[in-house]
Amino acid sequence: MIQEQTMVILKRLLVSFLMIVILVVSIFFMMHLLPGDPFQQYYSPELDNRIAEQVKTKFGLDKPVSIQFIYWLKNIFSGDFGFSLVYKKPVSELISSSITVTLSISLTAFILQIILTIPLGLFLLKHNGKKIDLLIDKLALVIYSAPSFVVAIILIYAGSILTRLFPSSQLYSYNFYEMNSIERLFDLLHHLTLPVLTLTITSISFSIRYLRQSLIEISNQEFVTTLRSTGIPENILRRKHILPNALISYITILGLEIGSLLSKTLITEMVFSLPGIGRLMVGSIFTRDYPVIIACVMISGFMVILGNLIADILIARFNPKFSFEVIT
Amino acid sequence: MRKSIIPSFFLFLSLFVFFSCKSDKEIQRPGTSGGNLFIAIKNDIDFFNPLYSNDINSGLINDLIFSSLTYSEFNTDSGKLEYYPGLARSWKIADDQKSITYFLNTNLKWSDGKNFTSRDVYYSYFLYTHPDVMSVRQDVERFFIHDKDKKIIPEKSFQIINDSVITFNFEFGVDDPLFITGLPIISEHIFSKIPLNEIFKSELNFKPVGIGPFKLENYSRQQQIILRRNDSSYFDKIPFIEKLIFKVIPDYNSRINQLKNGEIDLMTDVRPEDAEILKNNFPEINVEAIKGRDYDYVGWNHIDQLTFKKSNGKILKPHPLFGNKEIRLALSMAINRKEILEGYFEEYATLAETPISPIFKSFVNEKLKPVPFDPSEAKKILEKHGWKDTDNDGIIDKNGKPFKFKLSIAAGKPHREFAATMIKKDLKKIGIEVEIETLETSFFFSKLFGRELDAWIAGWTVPLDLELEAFWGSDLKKNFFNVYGYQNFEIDKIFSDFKNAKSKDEKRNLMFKFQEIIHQDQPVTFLYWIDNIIAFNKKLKNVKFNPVAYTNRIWEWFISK
Repeated sequence: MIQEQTMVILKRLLVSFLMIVILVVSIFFMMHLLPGDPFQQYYSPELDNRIAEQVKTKFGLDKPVSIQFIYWLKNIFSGDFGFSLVYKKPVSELISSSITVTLSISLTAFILQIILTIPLGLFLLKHNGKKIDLLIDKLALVIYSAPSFVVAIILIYAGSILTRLFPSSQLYSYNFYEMNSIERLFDLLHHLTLPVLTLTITSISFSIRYLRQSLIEISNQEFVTTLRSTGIPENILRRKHILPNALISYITILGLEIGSLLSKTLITEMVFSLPGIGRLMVGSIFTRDYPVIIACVMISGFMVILGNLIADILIARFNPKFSFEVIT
Repeated sequence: MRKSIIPSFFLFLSLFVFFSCKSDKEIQRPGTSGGNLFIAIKNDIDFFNPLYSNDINSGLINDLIFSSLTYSEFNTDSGKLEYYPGLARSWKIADDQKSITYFLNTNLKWSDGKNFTSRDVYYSYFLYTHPDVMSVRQDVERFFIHDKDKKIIPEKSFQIINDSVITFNFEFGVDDPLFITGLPIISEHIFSKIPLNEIFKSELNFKPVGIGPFKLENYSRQQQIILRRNDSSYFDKIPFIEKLIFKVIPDYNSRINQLKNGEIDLMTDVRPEDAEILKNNFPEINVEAIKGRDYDYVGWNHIDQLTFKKSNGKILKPHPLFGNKEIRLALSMAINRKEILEGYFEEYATLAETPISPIFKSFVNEKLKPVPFDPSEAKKILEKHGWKDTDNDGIIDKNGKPFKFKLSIAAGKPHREFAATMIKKDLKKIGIEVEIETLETSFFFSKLFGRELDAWIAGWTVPLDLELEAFWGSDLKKNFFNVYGYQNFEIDKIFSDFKNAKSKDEKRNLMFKFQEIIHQDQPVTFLYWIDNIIAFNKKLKNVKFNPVAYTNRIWEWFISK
């Protein structure tokens, strides 16, 4: 059984790898098909446009796209993402400094979302049909319908402009590099509170409605009625029997949520001026910095595929009835 | 009558105190030393190296870290650029304007403690002009001395006389030698260690060793740039403000909120609607508008793009709609520019008639009458050229073809979106149908420089030296910014004469003539000169903004306690 599972996971990993390859290859060609020029910064009335041509040659962008692709592929297998046309730095250096920020806020929001959604779901199940349940459900719907930047702006208004409790942008204070480790930690937490809250609130608004629905459905199933008739206290029934069953579909949603969380992180980074992958990617798209865009897409694609893979494995682990073959 | 010796004694004492304190930089100038100034910037710096830095904010920051031989300031009263001693204490220009000799300040040190000498000046210009370096300022080489293969000869062009004297020699007599030799100076001892074609990728481009009024203290990509005042800077420029913190905040609303909130002290490019809100509701904030060199225009493509592309730029066939100057004039007359200006900019813009900004006072041809808003006259002109509504569909037509076109704008520019809507409305009234096309910025510029657009709204900045050939010269391959395809050989002659003009009067007359022709030809419809609205906290004192750069003389600003 274990060997079979390992084989299936390996197969799944192979499929995921192929998906990333397809994604990156298509992005490479799509980027080069896009109109626009990363060397527009060299267009100046005071400057002969031959300088732009010279720089293009320097970066090998004067060659046909197919040749550029072969060079790029060769480099990528040796772990070289290339050189940023705009930042004039190795892409790996840019990615490594940005990914820490993105992962910090998105993972914190992800964990917070799980920690908060489950008790909140149980609370709503307990008060199913009551005013508080309907209120939270409708509120979640409103937040879910609103784009994440609206939530961010509301939080900035409340947390920064009105109450002046939190800074409205940046990752840390200007004098961060003069602080000791503990002060730095608090400074980071202070700056990341609003962005993390933005992501957590928007994520919960989706997952709570899903979990609530799932909990209600399970609680109406026959096995729950049977268990209830045996006199099991409601608390235990909810936590030990209804919740584990509802969690299976919730985990599936969590896997998908990783992708959505990344897109929300991208917007959140822009609003809060955080130097993460999202901001790097958006800036690079505007300047047509191909190597950076491709690397960012590769990283985010990898994260989404990995998230889904983990979710699939977890579902299979939690649900013994669920066949591995189903997910392959 | 015998004078009392007591007042004389006090006078003598005061004079003594005054002169003994003269060497103390802090006491000489009125201001309070210390404090931090938070400035919001839209985008991060591109390079801490003037060889490659090509973005406005990056240029301003680099000018604070590096210094030039002189520093320039635009005199808004005379409308001229004026120069003051920088790294050079004085200079001498040859009578034939073919050379300039600088006498450098000898006791200056780079921020790493090494001495500044004329070798640094030589090496800076050597790098700027060397093709392997790929500097964005490489074009400056055209002024200097070349061999028969048209290669610059650095030793002849930048001649070191001794450690503190250097002479620049030009190929021909130049109009403004100070302007040409005004590029920031970088250190030889840092860059001479790197192969020329590797400087572009060097890490040192982000670890600047400068000699300016500030030095880099901390740089965090996409977050902040902290400059600390350079206490070993030259004597009259040690700033009062301790630190300048440039916060990178890409979102406009975040910038304005942080200004209101006190998280930042200064921001530029405030939108007119916010300027009014700040003025009325935030008493702690000052709002100032700087008249500048940026104008918006409606571009009309003069050439038929398809023929141009197919012939690889060899055949220039007039554009079916905008190839005729009278049609262009009619379009200019049909657009109510004043309504657009008042509707969006209120008092923060001035109508434009030619590409010479009103700040260049002596060069503005005051005799030219503004193009009037006269839709009925516009209609008559169009009728004269055969454009009539023959099929009564509300759109004028000629040979069965309706007068309709796409007006393209780059996304994210609310003032251009507003102008496009108003232009569409105005032109509809004379029977022209306009479809507004909003394009992603990079896509827009790629189409613009590819001459693929019919009509568009964009903006240019007029260079301080009024070198306008790149925008209006007839050679379309060479003059990359002449995206409209305008050709007038009389204008080319003016540019050529302007370069060789010996006196300011001669230059002025040529510029007057240039404006007359442009006004007649209406190659574009000039909309307005846009002010740069700057908002800053009132705790910031002694602030005088200049069209050259808002940070000019920042060393004189101080923060009141």
